[in-house]
Amino acid sequence: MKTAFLILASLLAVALSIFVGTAAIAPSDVLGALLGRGTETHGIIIRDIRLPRALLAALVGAGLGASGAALQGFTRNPLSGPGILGFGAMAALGAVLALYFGASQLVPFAALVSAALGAMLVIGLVGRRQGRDVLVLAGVGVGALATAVTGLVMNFAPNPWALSEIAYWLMGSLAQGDAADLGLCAGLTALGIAMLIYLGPDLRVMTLGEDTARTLGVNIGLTQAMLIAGVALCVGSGVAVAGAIGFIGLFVPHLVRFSITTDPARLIWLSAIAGAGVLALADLAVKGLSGAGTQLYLGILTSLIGVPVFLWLAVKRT
Amino acid sequence: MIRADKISATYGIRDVTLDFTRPQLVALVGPNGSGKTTLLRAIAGLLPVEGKLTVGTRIAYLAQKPEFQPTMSVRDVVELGRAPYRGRLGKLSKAGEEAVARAMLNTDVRGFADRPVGTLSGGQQARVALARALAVDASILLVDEPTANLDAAQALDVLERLKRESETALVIAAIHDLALAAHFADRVIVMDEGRVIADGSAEVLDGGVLAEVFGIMPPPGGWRVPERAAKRGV
Repeated sequence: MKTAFLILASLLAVALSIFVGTAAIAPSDVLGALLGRGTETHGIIIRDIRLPRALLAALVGAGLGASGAALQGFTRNPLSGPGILGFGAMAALGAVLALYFGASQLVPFAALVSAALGAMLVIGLVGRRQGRDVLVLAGVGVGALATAVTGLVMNFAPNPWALSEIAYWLMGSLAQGDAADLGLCAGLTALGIAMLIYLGPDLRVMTLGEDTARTLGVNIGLTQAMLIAGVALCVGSGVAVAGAIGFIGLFVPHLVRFSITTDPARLIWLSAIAGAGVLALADLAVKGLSGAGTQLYLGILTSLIGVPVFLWLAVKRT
Repeated sequence: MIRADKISATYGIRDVTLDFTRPQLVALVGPNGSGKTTLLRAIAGLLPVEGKLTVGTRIAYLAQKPEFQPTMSVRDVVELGRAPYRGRLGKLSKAGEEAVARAMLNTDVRGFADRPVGTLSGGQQARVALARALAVDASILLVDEPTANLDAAQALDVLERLKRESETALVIAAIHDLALAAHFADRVIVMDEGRVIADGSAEVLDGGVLAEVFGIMPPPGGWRVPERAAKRGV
């Protein structure tokens, strides 16, 4: 029942963000444009701008939600989020480097490559050791390094415009999202989410501790490798198209845990659905709050909303 | 069922040779750091070992400090014991449901089957952990300090349950309480500094081994465990 409500609410949020935008278009015209009828202008606005943007919000949110839930399950720590593996910071570094060299059209590609590099770095650092402690250590280290190098790149930015472009990019936005971004993001995110959902039953057994899980047939090393790959796919493709979107991966699983289930396996796909809805709503708010000339950035809004919600949940639960 | 031929593991056990051939209750005793936990973990396949170790059938392992997700219901925790036999989407098989029901019956946890584990007392949680291990339906049960953190009555209760299980399964339990070990075990293995010092019936706890390993003597009149009062409340 609650699950059905969540799915419905998320679908509604995504639909709503197709119907709402800067240009006032009547709902009937929006529907018409979606079905390929109506004026050319409406067609462009709805099919080329709003639809990809809404779907991107849903995809990125779903990837971040699933990543957060899977990481919290694997580390058995509700404070984990996609950030602790450092892939977001690595993806951002790749994008920032592309911007530094003035190759803004290469940003998504550079972000993806950099996230993949981050994943390899974490795998390399972890080596044959297994378990949450070594994974978190490696991830936090890689993330911190990426953030430091990003700072260095900004430090040596060739001119103020490059610097401001980097700074704005780091705030996260879907305003420029188009069909090409969607094409890049959709497959990778879907694959990542599928890998994480696949791990669900193993994460459920791992609530008994890593040792006990191993005696129950869970291959911790394989689980860990799939987790790294799945999170890297979700976060990497998300950052590639949207920039840094904070706190969604951390607080969405809490929202689901609080309202529907604490089961680590169901939590993953439910967090994907909730993440899609939450980010679509957040992007809707961004559209509403951005006036002409002053754009509100999505990543700023998600952090601003996410932190208090997270703190509220944390206080209420303890 | 288990054959260990001169097995060693780093920082734990050295040249341990042991043979387990039939269902019985085996008590591993020895001071802290003597290698009991390492030996259990080695048999459970959790540690790399040197030497030849053959474990014939599926094992169930009960860690010294069982972990749970506090919000998970008792039944769900016990069902995790069936993980080795379940597909990713599969429901419990008929045999699985029977094993879970039997495990919950034998540990008296059915009364709070739907409660979150986190709301239970320490003694109740110990029974849930045992039920989870029993649900594996393995013919070898490895138990690390099952009575740690339990009061005297609860400890007695757990040992009685393990004793019952040992009629059909090989139960190897690391036990600190020498009285419980002497009273319940069919076979006692004394360990010290990673080696097996004595291996035999409970009588090994009566002799000089004790003085040598622990620096203590059995109490006058021998090891005794508390009696059950007429009205029991665990």
